[in-house]
Amino acid sequence: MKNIIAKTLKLTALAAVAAGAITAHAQEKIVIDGSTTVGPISKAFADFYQESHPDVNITISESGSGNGVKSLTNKACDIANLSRFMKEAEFKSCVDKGILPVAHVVAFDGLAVIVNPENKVGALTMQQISDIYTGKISNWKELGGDDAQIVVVSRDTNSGTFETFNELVLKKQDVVKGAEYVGSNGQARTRVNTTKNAIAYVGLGFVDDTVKPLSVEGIIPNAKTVASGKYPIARPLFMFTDGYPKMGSAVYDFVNLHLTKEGREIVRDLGYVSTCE
Amino acid sequence: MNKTHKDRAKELIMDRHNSARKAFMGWLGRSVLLCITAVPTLAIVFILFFILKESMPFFDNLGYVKEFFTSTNWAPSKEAPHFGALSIFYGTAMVTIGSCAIAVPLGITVAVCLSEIVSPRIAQTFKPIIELLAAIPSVAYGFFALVVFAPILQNHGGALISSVIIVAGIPLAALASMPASEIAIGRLFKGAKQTPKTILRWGFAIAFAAIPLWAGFSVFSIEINSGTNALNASIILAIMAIPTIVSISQDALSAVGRDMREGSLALGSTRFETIVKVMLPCAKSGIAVAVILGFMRVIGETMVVWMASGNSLKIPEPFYNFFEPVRTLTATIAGEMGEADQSTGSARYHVLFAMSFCLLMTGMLMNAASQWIGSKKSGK
Amino acid sequence: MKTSTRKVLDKSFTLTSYASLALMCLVIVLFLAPIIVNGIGAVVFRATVEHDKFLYETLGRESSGYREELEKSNAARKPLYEMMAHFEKSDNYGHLVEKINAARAQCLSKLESEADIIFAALDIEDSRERLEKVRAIADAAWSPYINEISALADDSLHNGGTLSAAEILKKQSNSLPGAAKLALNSLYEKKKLSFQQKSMLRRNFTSFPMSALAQNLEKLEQANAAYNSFKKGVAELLGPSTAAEKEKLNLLRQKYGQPRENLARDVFEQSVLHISVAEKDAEGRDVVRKVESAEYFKGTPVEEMISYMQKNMPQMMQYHWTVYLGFFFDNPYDSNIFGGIWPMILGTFYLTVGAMLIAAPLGVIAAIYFSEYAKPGRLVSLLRMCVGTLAGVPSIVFGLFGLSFLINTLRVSESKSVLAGAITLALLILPTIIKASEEALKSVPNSFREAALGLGAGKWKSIYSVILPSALPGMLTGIIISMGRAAGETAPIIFTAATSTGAALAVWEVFTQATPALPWNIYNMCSEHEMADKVQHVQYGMVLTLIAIVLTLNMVAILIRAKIQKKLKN
Repeated sequence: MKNIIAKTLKLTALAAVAAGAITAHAQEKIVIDGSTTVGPISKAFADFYQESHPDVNITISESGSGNGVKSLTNKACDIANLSRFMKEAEFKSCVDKGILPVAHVVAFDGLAVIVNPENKVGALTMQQISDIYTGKISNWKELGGDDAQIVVVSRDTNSGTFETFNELVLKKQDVVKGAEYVGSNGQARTRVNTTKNAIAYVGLGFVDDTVKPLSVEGIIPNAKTVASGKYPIARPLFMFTDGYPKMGSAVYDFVNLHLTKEGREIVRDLGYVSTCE
Repeated sequence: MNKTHKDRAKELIMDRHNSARKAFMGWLGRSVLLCITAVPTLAIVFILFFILKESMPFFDNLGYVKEFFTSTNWAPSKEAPHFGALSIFYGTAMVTIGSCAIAVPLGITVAVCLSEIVSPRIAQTFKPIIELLAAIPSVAYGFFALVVFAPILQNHGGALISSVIIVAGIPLAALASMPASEIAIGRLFKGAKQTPKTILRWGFAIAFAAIPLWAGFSVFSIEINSGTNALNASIILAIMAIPTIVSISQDALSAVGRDMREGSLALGSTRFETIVKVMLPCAKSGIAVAVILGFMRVIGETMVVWMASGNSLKIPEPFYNFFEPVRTLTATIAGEMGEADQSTGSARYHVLFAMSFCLLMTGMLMNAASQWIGSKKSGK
Repeated sequence: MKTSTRKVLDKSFTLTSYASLALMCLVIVLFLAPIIVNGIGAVVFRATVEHDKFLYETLGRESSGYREELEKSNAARKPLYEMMAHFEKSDNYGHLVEKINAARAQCLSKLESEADIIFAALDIEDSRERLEKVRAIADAAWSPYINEISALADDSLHNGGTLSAAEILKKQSNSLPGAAKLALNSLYEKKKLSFQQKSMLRRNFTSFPMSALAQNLEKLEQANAAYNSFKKGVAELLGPSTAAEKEKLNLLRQKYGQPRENLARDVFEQSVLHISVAEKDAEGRDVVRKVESAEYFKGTPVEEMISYMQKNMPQMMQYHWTVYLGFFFDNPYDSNIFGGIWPMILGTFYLTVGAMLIAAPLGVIAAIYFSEYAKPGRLVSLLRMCVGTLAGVPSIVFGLFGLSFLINTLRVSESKSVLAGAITLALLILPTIIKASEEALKSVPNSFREAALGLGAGKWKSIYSVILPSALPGMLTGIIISMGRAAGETAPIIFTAATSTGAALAVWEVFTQATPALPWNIYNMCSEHEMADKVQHVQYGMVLTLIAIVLTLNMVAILIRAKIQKKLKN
């Protein structure tokens, strides 16, 4: 029996060492934390960046804007992704801990209001959207659609996406109680794709062929209308660093990637709007 | 080999020294062991302390606390935040009750079947299967609920539920009609002849069977807006709780002595009567422990409810509507902690700890209850 | 009650309980079937040529028959690309430009030749009459040009070449104001005109053709937008058409088409056979509408492309069965859209083994204390109660504790790390290990202890050399089962150890770095991933892998236990 335990332990240790040996030792690392909306950009940037710098290990957590700030405050990450600007209290607590947050706007994002492709409604006004989300309108019939209850899908109340939507569309009114809350843009889109009478809002990058974006105030959300400022529900996306990163460091390269030609194209390809548009 | 008295005395003294050292070493070893054994205790103390410490700022503010338990206005991200968690508590209770309503009868029936009805060999093969069901990670269940079950429930929910009601309900109703008709015949038509009795029996059976039939047809055309709802979460949680309930109540049932069972059978009761009137009452404390542990598994579960319950902040309308999405405590904690601005130590961060404190208290109370029941049994 | 009724009740109760057993089996089957079937589908599936292309170009692995496949698919795609190129760039490009420019020159020259008529018109007293006259002249002057451009637009709309036509019109609208200005200036030189007269001329002789241009351009742009939407669908399905185009792209997901048959079919249905077009609704607002592309492009060359694609999909994609074992051992590429799940498997391994290494010694020692040393009393029953209580703490509370104690207070690591996660998981599984080990120790017969003591062994010696070895299999069972539990737990690692993307860690990095892990990434992939519905096979594959790990551990435990029971019987 002693043999068994000794063997097991040995095997485990061997496996651990072997597993570790396979993996290359990373020299420099960038830790990124924060918003799920900025997540796809950082992931794509990371993939692109690691191609030319294979020795840089980049880890990305998409745990929300608030968590991003927290990690930055605790010096637990190098870059905090935020889909909103840093709040005053957060800024203060950063400064208190000796961290000087510097904002880098990496892209613009429009919030598209999406419905199922089978839905007859194609255009809404800001007022109508606000009425749907505050519960004053509860049936598609009132908007010229089928006679069916509207399934209201919202992002979690503390995501940056929700805050932007709440500010720009709802003017800080309360969301109707029956609304469903989902944790991410992808989940919101899936809900709309699988539910005929659902309405939701997602970042422009998440609109694909499985859902239909509504035109707001007669303007279709796309890169052009967002960049020109015509589309009313739009916002900048941020990466925050502690101070301005040292020129030439990996973090410096990373937060300035969006200014390069490839970076601009990546931003565009993901469905966001480049700041150089 | 000639030892002087001096030497002997020296040896004796050395011996005493040795034994003192030995005793000291033994004492030291025991203390180290004790310290290690106290790790769970320390963990509990630290958990309690830290959860309490982080939730204290919230409980200090009395205005918040009253709102916390009585209001449904949950708006933690506003400038003037509201922390009315009533609907979240309600959602937790709803999902828990719903899953227990499924898991307890089913779990006890399976346990009875395994310990009393099927042959030991079959029971022996079933035990690992049930254990495997318990071993499957909760995120796998959550994945199943979200990706496989929710679309089915949303698109064919009415048909699914009505067929379950009809298939399971009609035989059960027909069974229930039997004792009912017997009682009716015994009380009302004592002297009646055979034919009217038969008619009466059939009448009862049809009337009883009509209930699930009616219920089944009335839910057939129901439209479920969202596949991720209280029902989905309840069903999946029930599947997770069943193994716990089965294995513990099975142990309790097999602990009941053979003499009880054989005595009852010898007195002429059927197996059914033996089980209902003798076995279950004898094993009731063990079964109660099983139910409590199943309940605890359900109430503390995070991933399934997070993924399957829809996370809506509304108390369903009407209040028993299981087709509406709800939100639970665990899902709120898991979903909002990432977004709460922890650096500022805001009320929103502390309210989540307050929630987990409530969860922790419930868990501890339940645990104490189960241990109390267990000790009462063993004391008897 | 009658005996017969009692019997029926008894029988039916028996039946009911059998039915409940059957229901449990059914539940297991219904639960496992889709996960196993689809999970195996992550490894064994109908691949397209794009999958092999990815393997060859990115990972340097050449699958058998790859070159032949590539040739065949390229041959099948060639006609489509030719059709598209032909449609995008009409052959009589240069010829058309010449024709239009000639028409424009002619129109502008009219300005000079008819100068007198224009001046006469400008001198008319009545303002309305004057306007009409000037308009009529402008109309007559520009109509050949406008006819030419609308003919071009209509022709291209019907026969293809809208892209180049739009380009021509755009160039025209850029150069026309300048040319018109030149012509007008020469007109001004002939006669001195008032500012108002000048502006009237400018309006009618520049804005007029410009608006006609804009109208036609808009028509073409709308058609182009629809075509571009179609083209984007084709690119999503097949990947970039040429190597040069591939060079320009940055995202891996754009460099290759759909790697799996089911995905290819979905994309073909959703993005090629259906497209979204921008239109005006009844109230004049722009809206997006989904249309069937065959219907929308009826009568244009695009219809031919669609029918060609419908006929030749299998040849273009080269569907074939493949086994992709790299799913387990490859790194993920482009947020898991390509590649495998190795970092997650490794992360789960680290967390599980770490939790075991911490919890097993503690748990076994505690069990030894409880069963060999402890004398019944207040202290021991308190300790025992705490073990029970720890077992009843909800897993999410462990996660919060790990966050607030291990990370925010003790700072075992700067932020999330494998170490913090492993400690949290160790606390979670500690009670299970203690209970199982205690059971195992209890089942060691007392005669063993007495024999050891009788032979003169000390307490510790007897525990070490006699009791522990005979209790070992039972302890192992408990440890292995709790390893399974640790591998599958998600809630405790959300705040302490898990990230959604990251490279596989080396052993020495576990103390400071967070890792992706199977349970968290399953959640992340199916609810937070930006293309959650396109990576379902990865999700299923991860769930199956996780379940397989956990169930294998449990199977091992069950086998060990069965062995012990056999031994005990003997």
